[in-house]
Amino acid sequence: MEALFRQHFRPLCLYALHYLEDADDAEDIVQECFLSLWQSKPDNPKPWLYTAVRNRCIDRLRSHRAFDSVPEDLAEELSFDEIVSRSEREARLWSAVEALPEQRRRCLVMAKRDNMTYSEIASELGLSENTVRNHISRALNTLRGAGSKDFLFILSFF
Amino acid sequence: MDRLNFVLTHFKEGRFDARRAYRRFRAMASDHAKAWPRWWRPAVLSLSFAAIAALLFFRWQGAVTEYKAIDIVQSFTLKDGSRVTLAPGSTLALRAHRNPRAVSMRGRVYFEVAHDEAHPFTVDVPGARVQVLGTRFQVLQDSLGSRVDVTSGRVRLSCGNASEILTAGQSASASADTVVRVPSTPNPSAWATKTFVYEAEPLGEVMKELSAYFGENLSTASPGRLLTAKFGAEESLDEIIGLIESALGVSITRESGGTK
Repeated sequence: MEALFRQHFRPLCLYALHYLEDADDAEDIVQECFLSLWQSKPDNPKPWLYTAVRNRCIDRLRSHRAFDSVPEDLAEELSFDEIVSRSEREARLWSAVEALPEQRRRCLVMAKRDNMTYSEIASELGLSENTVRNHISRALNTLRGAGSKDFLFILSFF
Repeated sequence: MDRLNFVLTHFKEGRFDARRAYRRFRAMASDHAKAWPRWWRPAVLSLSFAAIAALLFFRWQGAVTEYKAIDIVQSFTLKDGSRVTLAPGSTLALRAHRNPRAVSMRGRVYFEVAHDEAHPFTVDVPGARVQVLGTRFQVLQDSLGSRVDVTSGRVRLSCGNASEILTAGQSASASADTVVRVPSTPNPSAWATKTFVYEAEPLGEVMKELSAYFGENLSTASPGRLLTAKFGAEESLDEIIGLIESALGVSITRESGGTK
């Protein structure tokens, strides 16, 4: 069970996030799915988990928005393999962001998530604008490689 | 790089942490385990035993006796002495242990109810109820509603809040919470009683009833003449026509392949 968490928890959260857009909801749903996985003990946990997460997300969307159908953009025509590889890639990126040196990560997240300008970030962190620019471009360089499968392999040498 | 943008938009330190999630899972799982204490098995076992016993008792109490006429008219005598005659395809059901004088039915049934002041006899059809003391009447139930034709005695037909008391020779139909009186024919239950009885009945009405019963088309030039007679319904139509023609001195035209 612990191994299942280690392997699939983060990809599943990111998968759920595509439906829900609220990270806490996504995490709750994945947590519930693991609990019911433990209760129903299916033969094939991985596809079971992806299906369970998807169904619960759709249920949640329906109950919250009173839609009786899933919005068009979410009724994705992706195959199971595509979904898994997308989710695992995103999970690797997430881990790569986590693994960045702290200053680089903070600069990057402030710029991309909070849409702050370089000068705003610079004054927030007490750095020069140039340093911020450097941090972000190095961070992006590191992450470019992280989409591919061998990233984890590289990472393990750090 | 839109994968990366997606990840960055939602990134927060400590979010989606598999190790923390696993710890939370272990706490939740052990709560679940605690929710079923050691004695749950015997408790569930004895509860289900009690439930089964109760179920069997109510089933015995509610055991349904069902009467059916498959493809011929069939008569049955019920426990209380009442007689029922079922038209083909009709069913009648009652719970003998609960109340042998409360029946439900589908189709067309002719009742000869044994008289019992203390215990009214009731007939339930979907959406309507007939209450009687002791009498003879028929109930016809189909997809459009129910119709009651009373041969003798008194009957109350109710449907929702509406109700009508009917006496001999009266008919009413019930549907959608209303009861309306409808024109009655002299012998609505001839299929069950096997007799046609006419007392000063206009010949036109007699023709109509016999036509419907035999599935033929009968007509006469003098529909206003009154007929008083009694025939067995098992006699042939030719015989009945002959009897009427010679009794009243009229002529009756018969065309086959009429209504049925």
